[in-house]
Amino acid sequence: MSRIVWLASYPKSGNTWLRAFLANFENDGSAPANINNLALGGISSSRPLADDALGIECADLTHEEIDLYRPAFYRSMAARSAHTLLVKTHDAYTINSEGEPLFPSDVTKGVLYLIRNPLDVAVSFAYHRAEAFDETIARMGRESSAFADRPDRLHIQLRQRLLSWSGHVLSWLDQRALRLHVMRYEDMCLHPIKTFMGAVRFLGMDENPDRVRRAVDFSSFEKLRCQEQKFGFKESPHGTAAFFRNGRAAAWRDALTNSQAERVMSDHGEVMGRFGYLSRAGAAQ
Amino acid sequence: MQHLNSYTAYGLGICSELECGQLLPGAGNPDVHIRVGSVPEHLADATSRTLLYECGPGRFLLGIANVARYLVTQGKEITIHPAPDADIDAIRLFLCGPALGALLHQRGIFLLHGSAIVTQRGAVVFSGVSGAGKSTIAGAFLRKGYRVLADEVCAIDTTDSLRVIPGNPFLMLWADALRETGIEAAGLQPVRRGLEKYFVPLRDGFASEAVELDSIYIVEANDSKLSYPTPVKGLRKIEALAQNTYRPRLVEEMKFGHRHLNRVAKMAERIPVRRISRPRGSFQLHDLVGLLEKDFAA
Repeated sequence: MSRIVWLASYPKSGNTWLRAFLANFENDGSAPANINNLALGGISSSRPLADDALGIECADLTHEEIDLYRPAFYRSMAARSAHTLLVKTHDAYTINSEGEPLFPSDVTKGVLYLIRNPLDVAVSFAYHRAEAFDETIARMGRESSAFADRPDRLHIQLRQRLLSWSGHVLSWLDQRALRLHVMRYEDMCLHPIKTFMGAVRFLGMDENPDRVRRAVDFSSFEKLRCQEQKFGFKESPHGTAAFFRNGRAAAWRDALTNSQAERVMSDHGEVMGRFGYLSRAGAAQ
Repeated sequence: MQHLNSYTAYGLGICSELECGQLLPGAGNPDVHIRVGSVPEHLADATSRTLLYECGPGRFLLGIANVARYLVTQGKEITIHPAPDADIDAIRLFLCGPALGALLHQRGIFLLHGSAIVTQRGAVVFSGVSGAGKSTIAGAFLRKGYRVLADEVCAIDTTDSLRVIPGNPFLMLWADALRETGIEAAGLQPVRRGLEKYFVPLRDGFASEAVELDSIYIVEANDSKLSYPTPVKGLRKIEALAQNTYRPRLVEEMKFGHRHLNRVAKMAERIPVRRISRPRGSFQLHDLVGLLEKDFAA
């Protein structure tokens, strides 16, 4: 039996970048890994994987019933794999109606949790969803926020409870059941080698600086964007701007109005302060 | 004495203690008995155990929490052990889906995961993962006057020619698929409590005789634009048919893998398989159906 590393983040916080880095690091090849075939362990909300593990259509179960089966689903994923699985998730760390966490500690090797300034998340997420900034900011403030939760249709993925942005961060950081390593998006931008080396060390992989450097280079924003322009990106939602759109830290300053930024800071000030996203004067960095 | 109900599905006569109003009434000697009774929690001789089901020689045991346990034996019998206070619709739903699917596998019937309609060229199957739009496409063709052979579990007779066997006389569509297809939602019965998914009776739109298989479409929802169907060839065709088998893992666990692969190869030799992609965000059902109709006529 293998174990699972959860690559956990709120949406638009660098998860794809981290996965591109890990795929390139594992490949250790002479050319960048294909962004449309990052041979990792998939996403925790994969409906086909869940259907296969359960042997029935999850489509015939309610969201709550599926959550009851999710811990066992991940145990079965781990049992069927010979290698450590790197599994992406946008779910918050939540418990199901029987009080069991969705992400079971007995098959978890650890969690790489990515966090990004919610002001930048708001901009990126709004472009991703092709919706107005105000709508996205409201979504990020709601504890009931979720992906794929419409009751009247069958989503390609299982429901993912996101909670609010702060709720998401705290759900993963305050749990004590799973080993956790936190990476800030801004540090991935500013000090990529050091930050990604931190992930490599946490995962107990080969701490070879040249290998880390090559993987950082192959997964640079420019190289990811270039691949998307040439070949498209299957995880990009149809009809929206490019998935790899801007990638800079603090780009929110050119996008959000003062009142929009203030709303984000008022909703999430406490958690933002904890991660250095507010200066002493209270202005966001 | 228990009142018995007679039905027919997938070419089999069914005699059931449980009333299943959605099924097609039948008569004659039953091939399959559905009983209500006691079912153990585990199979003593299980050769494989997964989350919800176990397989043993000639036996399949499925347990859905708060609904029922189903014991499927030798392709001939299904015993249902309802959970206390279980929703009767949920009991029927898992009976007509995974329990009946396992029974068909036990009988050695070739099953694809998909829906099937009747065209002028013969039967056309729409296969793909859950959520790709197989049932919705069948619903759209139903509205255009095509007859439907099966939804979800598509059985194919491989004894001589390849023929699609009629399944059940209903589609199961979500509320948004009803809106997309323009099928009237009023009066439809939900498949179970808590889901906005409904039984759509096919009535005259049900094709009750087996029809020669003409072609298979693999439907995919992805990032690409709606595009004309493209042929799947060579090994990829065998791979596509193997992947789109109904519950491929179950075939392995029932130890039918080798026989199944032979049939997949036979089918790949004789039947064209095409892939059609639609954008994930929007269905564009009307255009998709238009492209498919053009392809049928090609």
